[in-house]
Amino acid sequence: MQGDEALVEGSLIAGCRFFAGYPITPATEIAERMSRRMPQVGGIFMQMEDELASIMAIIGASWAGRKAMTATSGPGYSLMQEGLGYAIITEAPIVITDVQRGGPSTGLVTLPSQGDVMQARWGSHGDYAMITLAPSSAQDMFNLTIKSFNLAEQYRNPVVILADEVIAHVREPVKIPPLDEIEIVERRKPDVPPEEYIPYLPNPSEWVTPMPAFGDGYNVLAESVMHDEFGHRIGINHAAAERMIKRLYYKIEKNVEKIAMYEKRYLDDSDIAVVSYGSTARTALRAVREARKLGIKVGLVRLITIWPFYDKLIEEVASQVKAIIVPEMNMGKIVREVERASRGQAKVISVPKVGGVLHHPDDILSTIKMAER
Amino acid sequence: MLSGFGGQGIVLSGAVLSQASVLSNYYAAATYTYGPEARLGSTRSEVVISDEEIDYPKVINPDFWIVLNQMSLNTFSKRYPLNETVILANSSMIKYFDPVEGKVRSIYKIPATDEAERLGNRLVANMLMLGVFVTVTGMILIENLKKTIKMMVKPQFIELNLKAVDRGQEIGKSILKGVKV
Repeated sequence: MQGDEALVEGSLIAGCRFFAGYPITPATEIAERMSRRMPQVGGIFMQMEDELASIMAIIGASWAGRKAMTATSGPGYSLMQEGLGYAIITEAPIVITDVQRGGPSTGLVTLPSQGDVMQARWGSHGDYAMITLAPSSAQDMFNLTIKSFNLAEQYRNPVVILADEVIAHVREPVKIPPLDEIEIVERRKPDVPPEEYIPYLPNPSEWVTPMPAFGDGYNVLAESVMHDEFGHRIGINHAAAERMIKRLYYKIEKNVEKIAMYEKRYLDDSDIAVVSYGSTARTALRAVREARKLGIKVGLVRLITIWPFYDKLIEEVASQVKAIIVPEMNMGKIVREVERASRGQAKVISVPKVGGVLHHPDDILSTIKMAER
Repeated sequence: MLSGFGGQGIVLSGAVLSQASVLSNYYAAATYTYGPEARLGSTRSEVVISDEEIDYPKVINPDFWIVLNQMSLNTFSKRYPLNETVILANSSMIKYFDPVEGKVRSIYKIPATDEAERLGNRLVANMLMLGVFVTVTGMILIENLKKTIKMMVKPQFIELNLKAVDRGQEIGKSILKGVKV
């Protein structure tokens, strides 16, 4: 199965029943398969006029009670940034797939990149937090899509699946487990009558409020102007604004340990670590295996959750090794986070790659050899 | 590795080959490189077939290279180490072998486009070459290749593609017997 196709099947199992999008290479196969599959499961597929409309349509569907998704690539994802902010402030659970291609602008239309990794965190204006997952295989495209819908529902926040051309188009085996073995998180609806429901005031022990759908009988304002716990515009009320912004931020960042997924390979006896994500993590694994054959003690940390960034993981790895190597298909972006989180305990080396091509394993291997000396 | 220009079915044949490999109990990963053009741009499929789970999904040292046009032969012969490579070349569209002659393990020159034209459509040169590949390597059952074609090719073209595989199989058998194609 192709990565893009695995993503579609994962989203349908997760319960996605609304897709709005505008086709763009290398995400076109997602819209294509969605257009065939959605009617078969009783869902709705809408081809929109552009990406601005696509994201607003899925926010509307989300507020109407559906699990909803859109898929695009860099140029379309740039257009979605305003709508993304709207989803964040109204706390609409949505899933956005960005299949990265080379930029800036129209850029390298058909070729892979990891250039949007910072945009996935900071692309929209203002203060907020994001959840972003990076698949490394067609199997991940299936698994992490289900996970993304679960996280979106749990935290009432947009989740970005940050794929790239290689992973979107790779055709490889995908195992679909029995449906009763797959964990699906459903939206939590209010358990109080409409007159007692306060839409943006969570219980003291929680960061997230239950969410009714439009038409459920609850009074809900989906307001993009800074609002109070009732959804009312607050004008100049610094304290209420501060409470809202901090809650949007902390509901994600304070739960980083629960959200963060990663994979460690060959790390136990290592004094060098390679930290990587997405398709690059596969090249990195190959380089680590080659280096191990040469007797070099090197391991791999694959970041599955990119945002929120799990500082503690990197801090621990940095305390164990003398050097951390960060190969990325960009000019060096996550390497800054790694450097910050390692707090000077290890030397951090960037291995950038641009031009629309995966690293050759030798690019990483030669850096591992250099770090060992 | 498979290469040619857009329109020769390089992406489809990479997809078919990887799927047929999976049906034959291998791990397989197929990736593609092509430009924004609908036709005539340089196109490449890289198919890694392995007994083990595949990490790096791209080709490093190609064992086999199915090459369908002159341009990609010229381009990619400079980019890959080819001393261990067996080349199945479409001699209907490749006339100059200087970039690879004497530098690779072996070259089989197969007039795939002409053969395909005789079957009724030059576009099935890709599947003809897969028929040759599968026969020569013996890695994949020809039945699995045919089963995959029935799954992945548009219904109206299935029969034509299967005919191309059969012709490829004949050519592959003569190669194995040492008969000049």
